[in-house]
Amino acid sequence: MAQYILRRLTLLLPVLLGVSVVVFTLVRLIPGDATLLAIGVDQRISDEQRELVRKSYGLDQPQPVQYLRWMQHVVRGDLGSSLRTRRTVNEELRLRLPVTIELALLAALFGTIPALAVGVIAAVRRNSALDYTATIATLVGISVPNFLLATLLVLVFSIWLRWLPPIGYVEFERDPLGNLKTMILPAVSLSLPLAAVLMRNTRSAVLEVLGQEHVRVARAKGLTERRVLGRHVILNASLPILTVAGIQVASLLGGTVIIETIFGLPGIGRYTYEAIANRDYPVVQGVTLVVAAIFVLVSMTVDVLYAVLDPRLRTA
Amino acid sequence: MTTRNGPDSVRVSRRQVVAGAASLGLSASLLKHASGLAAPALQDAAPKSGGVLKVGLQADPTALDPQKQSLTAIWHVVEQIYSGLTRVKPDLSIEPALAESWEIAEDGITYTFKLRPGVLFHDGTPLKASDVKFTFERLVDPETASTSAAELASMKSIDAPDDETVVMTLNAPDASLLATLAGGSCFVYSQAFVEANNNDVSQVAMGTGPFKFVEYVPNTRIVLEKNPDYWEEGLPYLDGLEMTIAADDTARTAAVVTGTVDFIEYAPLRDIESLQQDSSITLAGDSNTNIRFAGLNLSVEPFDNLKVRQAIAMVVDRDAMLGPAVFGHGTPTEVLFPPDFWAALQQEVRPPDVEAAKALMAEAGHAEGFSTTITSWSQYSFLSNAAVVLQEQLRQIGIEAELNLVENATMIEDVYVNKTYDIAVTGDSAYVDPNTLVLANFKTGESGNFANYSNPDVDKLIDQGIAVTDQAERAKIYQEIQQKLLEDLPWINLFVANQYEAMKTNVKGYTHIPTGSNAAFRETWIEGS
Repeated sequence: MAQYILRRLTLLLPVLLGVSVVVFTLVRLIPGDATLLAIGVDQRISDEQRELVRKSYGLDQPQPVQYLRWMQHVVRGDLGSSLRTRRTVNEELRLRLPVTIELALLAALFGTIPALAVGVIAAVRRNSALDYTATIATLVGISVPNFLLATLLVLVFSIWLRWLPPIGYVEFERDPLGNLKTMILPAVSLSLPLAAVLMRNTRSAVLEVLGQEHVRVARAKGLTERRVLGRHVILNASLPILTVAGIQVASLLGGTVIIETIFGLPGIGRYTYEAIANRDYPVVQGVTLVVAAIFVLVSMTVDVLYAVLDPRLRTA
Repeated sequence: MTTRNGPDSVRVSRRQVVAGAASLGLSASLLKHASGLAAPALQDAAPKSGGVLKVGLQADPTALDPQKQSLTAIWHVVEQIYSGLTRVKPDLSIEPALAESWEIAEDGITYTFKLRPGVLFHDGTPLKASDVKFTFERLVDPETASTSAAELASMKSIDAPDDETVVMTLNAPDASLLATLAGGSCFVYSQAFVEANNNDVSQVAMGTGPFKFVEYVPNTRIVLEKNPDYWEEGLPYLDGLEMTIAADDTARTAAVVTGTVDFIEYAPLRDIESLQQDSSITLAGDSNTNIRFAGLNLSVEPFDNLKVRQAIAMVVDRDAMLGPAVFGHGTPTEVLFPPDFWAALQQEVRPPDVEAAKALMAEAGHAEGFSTTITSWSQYSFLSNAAVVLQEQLRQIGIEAELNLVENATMIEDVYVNKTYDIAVTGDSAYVDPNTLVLANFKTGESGNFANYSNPDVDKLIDQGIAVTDQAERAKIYQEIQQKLLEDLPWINLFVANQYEAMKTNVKGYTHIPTGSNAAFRETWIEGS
């Protein structure tokens, strides 16, 4: 097992190197650069002055030189500094990554637990009213974009009911309750597609196992329905569910971009979006590297969990 | 403020992109469209001191050094912390600030400023003429690589003969100088403070303004506290400002409606009606110094042909644009400046005349029309929606325009830097002096003249406009320039958009300033605090 984890970890390195080259190149292929955006449309600026600004950003160097300089810092654990704010990417990540991770974890919590419960019940009581309701709910969940849901939630819970604030992030260590209050709506908005996909998958995975012979055998042995479900159905259905959950949880990070913008959360989703819009190359590069690493680690964790759940996979 | 444009959001921006995703705006008096709006929060009872005003900002400032980036969002924070030699009044006239008085020599080239005595920086040290000299020299120093260096391009030298006197010598007379000095990039720094911070004041700020810098948590909040030693006796009333970033329109409206904040800037235009009906909300606004227009690239065919430009101008229906672009909160205009601006040319908007436009197209040899492109900002719906309507209207005279909605960096590069476009639906805003707008956009060879417009008469008039200081005389010159622009049509002006701030009814004393500035926070107070 340890060897398996180690082998997966060594794969991380080439992945990150590849990501670094790709993101470095891609972000520079987008038209325009940070200089243009800092200057805006105040075009009385002379060409010389424009070059001075570009030089102060280090963008006057040839691209391979820029890449190597960046890499020199990266291997020392320094992701560089934002062109716009001059703050270091490391410091920004220290502030922002916890926000996004909290958001993603809450969303995963809100998404997975009800989805699993409802999925199992829907499968067991197939074709019941509950099953149909759940199916319709998932259809809605998959189809409704989360920004629309976010707006609706703000309308209902902030404007009508006045239960939760629409914006105004506070750090957890400053005010834990206030922090949770500002996190609930975004986390719920973010969790909906996850919950919907997961519910459907749980239902079909459980249904599939329910139809298998070993379940009939278990029932024939006289086991209680609860035991049949617990030991023989859900455990066997958990592998495909885990696969989907892993992918969905990792892709939550993508959904944070819009949700963080709507609710004014200072996480890395919005940070990345703004960095791309402002051609803040070091930020885009640094954050992408870190997110790629997280993505790889999450999917690795899922693989390790497979092995834990299914002894047959341990030797693989 | 001698600022052009700017979204942001960013967000956009003092100048950053069309003044901000935001700045929309214009003048109440003419605006029948915006009827029934509450006037700027009225100053009813006697002001009371105390209380912290919670403000919802439209964009994160990202940094706090206005010399380094030309962003509206930076300016909206640091204008509370710093003061300039001059400042802009709500009627857009210039009044003394750190400079108590000034003398302009006969030749119009030497400006002698007397500093207000007894002004203290937030660290308790006195303001000295050498700080002013340091600030302005820093702005134009190539080392600073300032994005706003051009604003003081007319400055030849600056001296501080004693602690209270600043002498600026210009290359040529510049009647717009006093307005420039009120702008964000000319806020006066403390030399000692900037040097103590190794010349990097992007994350800290210390000035002579009504509020002191306490904390800036990027993308989360900016906290400022009252400066008890502020140079205006008795001000500010507030104990402090707590600014939160609410970039999303829906969230910003919700924030003020629910009382999560007391005040929002850039109240979303689509929510104005509902905010007006909300008895817990007061709106301030509507005038704003901006112009939304369709710029034509005069160096590409067929826009080099005046008849084609005239045809386009004739077919444009500005009233039809206002709804989709700004939810009706704007004023259609054919001229550059809003009618209540001192330099404006009074000119009724003429209704569209499709038949006459078709005839002009035929005379120009384009009876069958032609294909072209319209480039605009994807981020700013008040412009991209106007572009969509324009596309539709041009079809009436056979012009098939492909819509090219691009994001900010591409827009700036294609239109403003490389000038590779046909028609650009864009905007300019937050000017105080008319020269800001006409010099950059219409003088021959100016790098900002993206229409590639050139008219020697206009060039001469632009020079004259800053060579005389008398406002009535200047007004005549700018009216003449607007008349010429109306004849030559490098830009088809569309409308001036309104801008509003929304606040809880217990927020008093706030006055809307048409540049979008929130400088009135120094006179704002909270009832019942």
